[in-house]
Formats: sequence, C-alpha cells, structure tokens
Amino acid sequence: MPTLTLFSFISLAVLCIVYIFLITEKINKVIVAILGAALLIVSQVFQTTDQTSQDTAFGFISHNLDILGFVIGMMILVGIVRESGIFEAIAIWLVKKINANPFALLAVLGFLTLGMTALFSNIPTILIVIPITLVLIKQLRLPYFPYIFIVLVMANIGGAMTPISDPTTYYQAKTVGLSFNEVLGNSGIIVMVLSVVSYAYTALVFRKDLQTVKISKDSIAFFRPHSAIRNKKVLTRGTPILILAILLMISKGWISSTFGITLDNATISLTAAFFAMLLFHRDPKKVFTDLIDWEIIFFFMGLFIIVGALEFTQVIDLLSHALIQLSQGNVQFLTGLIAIGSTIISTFIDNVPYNITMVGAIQVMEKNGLWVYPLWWALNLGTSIGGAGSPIGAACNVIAFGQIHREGHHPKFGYYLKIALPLIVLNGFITFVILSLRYFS
Amino acid sequence: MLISDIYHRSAVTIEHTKTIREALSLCIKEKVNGLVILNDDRRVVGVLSVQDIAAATIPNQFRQNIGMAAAMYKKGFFHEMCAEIQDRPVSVYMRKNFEYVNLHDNIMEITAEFLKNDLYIVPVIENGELLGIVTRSEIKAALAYGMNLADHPQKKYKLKQ
Repeated sequence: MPTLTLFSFISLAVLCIVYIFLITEKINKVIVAILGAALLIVSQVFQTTDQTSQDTAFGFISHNLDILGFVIGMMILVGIVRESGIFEAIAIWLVKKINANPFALLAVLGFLTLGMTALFSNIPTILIVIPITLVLIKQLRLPYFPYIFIVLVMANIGGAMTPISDPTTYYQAKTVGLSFNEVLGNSGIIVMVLSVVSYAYTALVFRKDLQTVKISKDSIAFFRPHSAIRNKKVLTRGTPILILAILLMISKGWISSTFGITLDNATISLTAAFFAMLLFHRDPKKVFTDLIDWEIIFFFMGLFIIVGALEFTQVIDLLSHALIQLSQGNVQFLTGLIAIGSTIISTFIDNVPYNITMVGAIQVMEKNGLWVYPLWWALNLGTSIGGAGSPIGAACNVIAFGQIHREGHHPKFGYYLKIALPLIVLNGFITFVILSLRYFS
Repeated sequence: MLISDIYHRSAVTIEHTKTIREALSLCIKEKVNGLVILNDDRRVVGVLSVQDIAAATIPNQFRQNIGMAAAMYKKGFFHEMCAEIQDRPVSVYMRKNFEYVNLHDNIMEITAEFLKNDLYIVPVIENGELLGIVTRSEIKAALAYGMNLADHPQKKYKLKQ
C-alpha cells in the first residue's frame, strides 16, 4: 500500500477545493485551476533533493506539450479554414438534400455533428452547427429541443471516436500509447453504435413533436449553399492543408513503421497552422487572440499540475488500490464500474480533471499487474457519453446553451436531465455490454 | 468647439411603452432616423435608431456570419421577422446603455464616441433634462464649419466659435 504524507493530504485538499469551485461555478474554472496549481507549487509539494517545487511541477506540463501543441494547432487551422465558409456550405447543402423531412433533418444535424467532431473536436463543431440549427429552428418553425439535444449528444460521444476527436481522448491515447486504429477499432466502433441508439432514442421520445412539423419545400428552395463560401482562396488551398494534416495524424503510426520517420500531432498541426498563416497572410497577433482559446490551454496546464501532485504524492496509487480492492481484481466488474460510473460523474462535473486522474489510476493498476486494456475504452467512452448528460456536463454544452438562451429558449435544467439521463445510462450500459462481449466472453 | 455650439435643439421623443411599429411611423413622419426614448416620468431611458430596428429583424447568426445570411434566406423571411417585432415595445430594442453628453463636452470627444460605438443619436442632457440631440447631421455641419465651406448647413444653428 502506498504511504501518504502531509503533502498527499495537501494535494487532496487542493483537488477538493478546486472541485468545489468547479461544481459551484462561482469562479472561472481557469482561475481556479491555475491558483490551485500555484498553491501546490508554493506549498513545496513537488520539492525533491535535486529539483525545486516549480521545476518538478512544470515537468508535468512539459510531458504534455504534444497535447497542448496539437490543441493550439488545430484551433488555428480549423479557425482559418472555417473562414472559407466550407463547413456552413456543406451543412446547408445537406439540409437542402433531405427533402424537408423533420426526421431526416434530425439525422442530418446529428450525424454531421458526429462526423465533424470526430475530425476536429466538439467546440469548433458546436460553433458551426448550433448557429445553423438555430436559424433552421427559427425559419422552419421547428421544435427547438430535439434538434439541439441531438447535436449536443453527438458532439459529446463523437469525442471518443478517435485520438484527434477530443483533447482528453488524445491525452489518454498518448499517455497510454494507444494507436489511432486501436482507438477507432474500440471506442470508434462503439461510438457508431451509440450514435444510432441516440438518434433512435431522440426520434422516439420526440416523435409527436416531429410528426406535427410541416416543412414546406418552398421554404428551403431559396437556400444557396455555395453563397456560404466567403473566401475561395482559403477554400481551395486551406481545406487541402487541413485534410493533409488530419491524414498525417491518422497515418503517423504507419509512416513511422514504414519509413522510420516519427511525426507527432503537435508538429503536424502547428506546422500546418503556421503554414496556413503564411499562405493567407494572417497577422499572428490577431490569430493568437481570435482563434486560440487560451482558457482551455491554461485549464489543462493547471490540471496537469494538480493531478500531477496527486500522482507525485501517491494519492493516485491509493485510489488505484482502492478500486482494485473494491473489485477484488475483477476486470469485468471494473469495466462496468468505470463505464457507468464515468458516465454519471462526468454528467455533473467537468470531465477533463476526472479523466486525467483516472488515466493515472488505471496506469497504476497496470503496473500492479492487472490487465487493464478494456478499462481504457470504458473510461474514454464513459466520460464522453456523460458529457451530454446535463447542460454543464461539457464545455461545448455551455457554449451551445449560451447561444440558445440568446434566442429566447430556456430549457429547464431538470427537463434536460429528464430527457438526457435515461439515454446516457443506456449508452453507458451498451458500452459495458459490448466491451464484455468483446473481452470477457 | 463644444456641444453647446452644435447640438440640435429639438429631439423627437417617444414613450418606452410604444410599439416598434409606432416608432418607425414616427421616424418616417418626422423625417428622422433616431428617437430618444422616455419613461413615464419623462426621463431619458434609451435611444433607438432605424439601424436598431433593422438589426432586430435579422437573426444574430446572420449578423455574425454574413455568408449564412446569403446562403440560408427563406422566401418571405424578412416579412415574417418584421411582423414578429412590430408590436413589441420599443424598450425591448432600444439601446439602454446609451451614450449622452452635456453642453460643455467637446466635439472631438463626441466624434470619438460615434466612431467607437457606431452611434447614430446621442442625447444632450443637462441636470437630468433633455435639451436636444447630436446626430451625424450635426457632426457633418460641424465639419463643414471647420472647413469653412461656403454654405455649410450649420448656418441655421447660428454657430459661434
């Protein structure tokens, strides 16, 4: 059993304080995370005989520079390519294709969100899809809730699909050493099943609302998808750069084994992003302020230190031992516990710190000789599924709800939970069943 | 040059409970593009310009992304939006955080405000009392006066230096 020190309790206390502030949302989460990290460094939690407290703490950030660089690079790249209007044009083109059927529109918005999230994570996707959805709701007089709900569910589960779909999925894949194809072949396939289930659930629950919708074909006859294209140069030259960057990130394992050239996501995405800045004469100062969401970057940096302290002071070892004892080493039980537990926990708390903590805990289990392979997928899927469980379950939900409120729609927190909780519990359970069939039968 | 030298002494006003339709009708009748909004105690509570009314007919998403406005226009949508907002009170769409000036403020200060906040109409208020307004017309007249244009429109306000 790991031995706890005074510093272990300080680390745990800081984590608890940070969580209290994150749950109550009284103070901005980035300020909480960075001040929590600063408190740990100043308290000398990380001090060793040959390194200062800050040096050891910063080591936890520097181990993750690939993740931070990847996130920053993709923010810039997607931000620049977005200026072309290509994503809006594709979405409007698809909406025109569905022949004014409300159920088909639900499918188009849902699966478009899933596909876009899988390629470049959920926040840029939400910033593109939610405005289009809100305009459609207004113009076609649609019931707003089913359409917003399907977009949020797909934006959250889509994050588990591949390592490039979400920063936490990438963090997990990178830290554990899971390849793109492994993630796609495990989480990705389950996400596809869950997306069909989620669509069927939404269509069923809201069938009466959707059946009464009458969309006249005339109302979308004036839609001109090509008019959404605002910058042809960015469209014709920026889009291939984005596609190439994504292809390189997908095939980096194959490139390394075939040609012996090692590439990582930060190098690929930052090179592509800065090349796009060069090509389209973007002022770096403006790009840095307009396109990079520094809040997420600093939030991650703060959390790497806070969770790093738990690892450094062996609190995570203790958590890991407690989970092993609770399950008596039964990995199938742990898979179920983590799949459904993560789903419920990430419904109400930010899933980033939870995910980072649990990755550490599962690594310790692995070091203790436990076969943990299914647990990675249970954790990855559980946290992504749970993100859609409540309006505050994930950062992208908060952004979407901000836009929805501005339109005068105010879905009640309790109503959202009533609709979302059965679906996410169902999705968590399906994940457990698929993982059980695959790894324990 | 001070506000007292350039301001327009008769502001067109409307009560905050009147509808957008009545406000637009008043703008057309009085040949102005901006109104000062008064509450029940006849105190200034906001300003409303034709741009504010026009903006209310356009979804937020279109304002932020003109490409979407071009690509997603539904036949008859403009009429629907006009019909939707016309019976709402002006208090919904007026600018509540409006800028105002008093007689001793100077022309450069107000011009800077016009540029920074995309203003159309700025009330002139002294001790809580509405004395008049400054619009782009007054700034145009002040510019003409500054450049000594022969028949600058400000002549009718009897400008003094």
